[in-house]
Amino acid sequence: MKSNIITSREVKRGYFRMEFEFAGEALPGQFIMLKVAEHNDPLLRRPMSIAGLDGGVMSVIFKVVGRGTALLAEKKAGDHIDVLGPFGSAFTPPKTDAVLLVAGGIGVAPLLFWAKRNPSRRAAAFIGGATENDILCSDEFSEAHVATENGSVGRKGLVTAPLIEHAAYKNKTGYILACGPTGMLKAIDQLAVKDGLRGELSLEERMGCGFGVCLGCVCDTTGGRKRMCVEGPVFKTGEVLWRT
Amino acid sequence: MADLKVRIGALELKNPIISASGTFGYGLEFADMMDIKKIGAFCTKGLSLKSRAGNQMPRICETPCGMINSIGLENVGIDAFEAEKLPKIRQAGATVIANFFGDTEADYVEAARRLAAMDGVHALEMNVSCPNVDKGGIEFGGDPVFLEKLTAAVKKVCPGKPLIVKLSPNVADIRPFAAAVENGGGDAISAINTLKGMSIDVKTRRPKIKRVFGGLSGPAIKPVALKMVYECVKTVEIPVIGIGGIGSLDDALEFLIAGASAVQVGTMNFVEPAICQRLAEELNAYCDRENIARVTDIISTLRTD
Repeated sequence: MKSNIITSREVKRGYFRMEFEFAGEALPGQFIMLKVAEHNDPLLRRPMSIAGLDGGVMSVIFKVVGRGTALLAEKKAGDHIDVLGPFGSAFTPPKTDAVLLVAGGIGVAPLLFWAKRNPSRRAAAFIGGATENDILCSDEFSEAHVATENGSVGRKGLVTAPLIEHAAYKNKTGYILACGPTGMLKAIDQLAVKDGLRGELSLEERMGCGFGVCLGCVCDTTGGRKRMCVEGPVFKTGEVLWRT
Repeated sequence: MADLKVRIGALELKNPIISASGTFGYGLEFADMMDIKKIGAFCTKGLSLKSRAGNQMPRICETPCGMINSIGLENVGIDAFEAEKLPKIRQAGATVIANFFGDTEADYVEAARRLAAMDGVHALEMNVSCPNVDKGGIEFGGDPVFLEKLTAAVKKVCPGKPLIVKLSPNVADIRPFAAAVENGGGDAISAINTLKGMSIDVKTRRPKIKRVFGGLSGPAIKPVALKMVYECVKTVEIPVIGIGGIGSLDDALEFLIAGASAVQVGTMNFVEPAICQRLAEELNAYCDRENIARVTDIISTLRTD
């Protein structure tokens, strides 16, 4: 589907937030596949978590990491973007639990979408990154705890430190929703299992198609081999058998 | 409305646009994105007697105008295909070409026998780009003598349904392999499967595919595929189905002009899920515009004068 880009701006150095028209529904945790070029190079679409969908306007947040995302960053308001989706599983935290949103870098995107869709829920966000430049959207959450590895903003260290000190974590009433780099997700998964908290993780992977046919993005789980794009990207804590 | 019908052995297709195995799942995945009845046929993910989990990740990577995959023939197995997938596919009204493979000749024969007996499977496509466990891992499709013997053995158990043999391009000369399929009693050839390739992440100095090598596909391989399809057409009388990097009407026309009786669209299904339906519609419009009554009038019209 060809969509009109409404805005695209660099929110931090190398990080872009793009808004475009989207006629349809989507759930927090789901993703879309964006075509970055009209021609065949780069060939494949790029998976992007949905950062928001309101009044027919969808937003995504991306970091320029290669040719594909660099081409995407060149697009401006008024340009067209080819959008496919939404695809994948959504976050489904139990209605009564306090929610602990844990983000690494652009992993904040689906958590922001969830928070915007659930303004009345008790939720605390924990936002981590390497430096101040990698902390995104922290001012858009009602309660946000920031951690950076170099201490340039917020607490110095990993995002797991403020997480495990939070009251809802310590008394095990919190339900975790996490999205970020694999290393962070694995650490949170192991902590949650050890400390007896439940939650969901949104995994990131390169994808060929996004709708379950190329079988390029599988992961092993306690329930067997799953496609991250169809059965995922959101998995329950304790479900993923980590590769590394 | 031009006549777009083509024949692959005893099977008549409503048009020559087929989606390729491994890029179209079991067809059902596309239900919300296109009308599966509007395309000539679709080839299932390669099926084996037992389900397979495939290779370790990472098993795909992008390359210029293409991609490399080493999925490792992950599939649900023939039992689950028959019980869970086929009833829904039949309901959708699709023309189904069941792609299959085995580790031994006996596996191939048994897989073909099972699939040929299924109501709703219209033709079989045999993937011979798999290592032969009984022959020290040499590909079934890597030796013309063996390929002819395998084709004959498989054709014996599927007399009522067209047997298409999908050739590997990873050989010095594809012509003896095309001849082997014809001599073995195969009803058609599809060509080409993926080209062996490799890609390295220079930052980590690791291969981008866990198993180092994979199969290259996408627009990058189209000229190679077209040449090999042309060579097959020149070698055999049976129909040849052209595959390799097709992503536009002109791409499909090139293969038809070179002599392909039909074409398969593979990697581009990932990028544009409704591409096969679009190409079938564009082919019809092209024929009408050019006053071509039958699409078969395009086949083998290459001018070399």
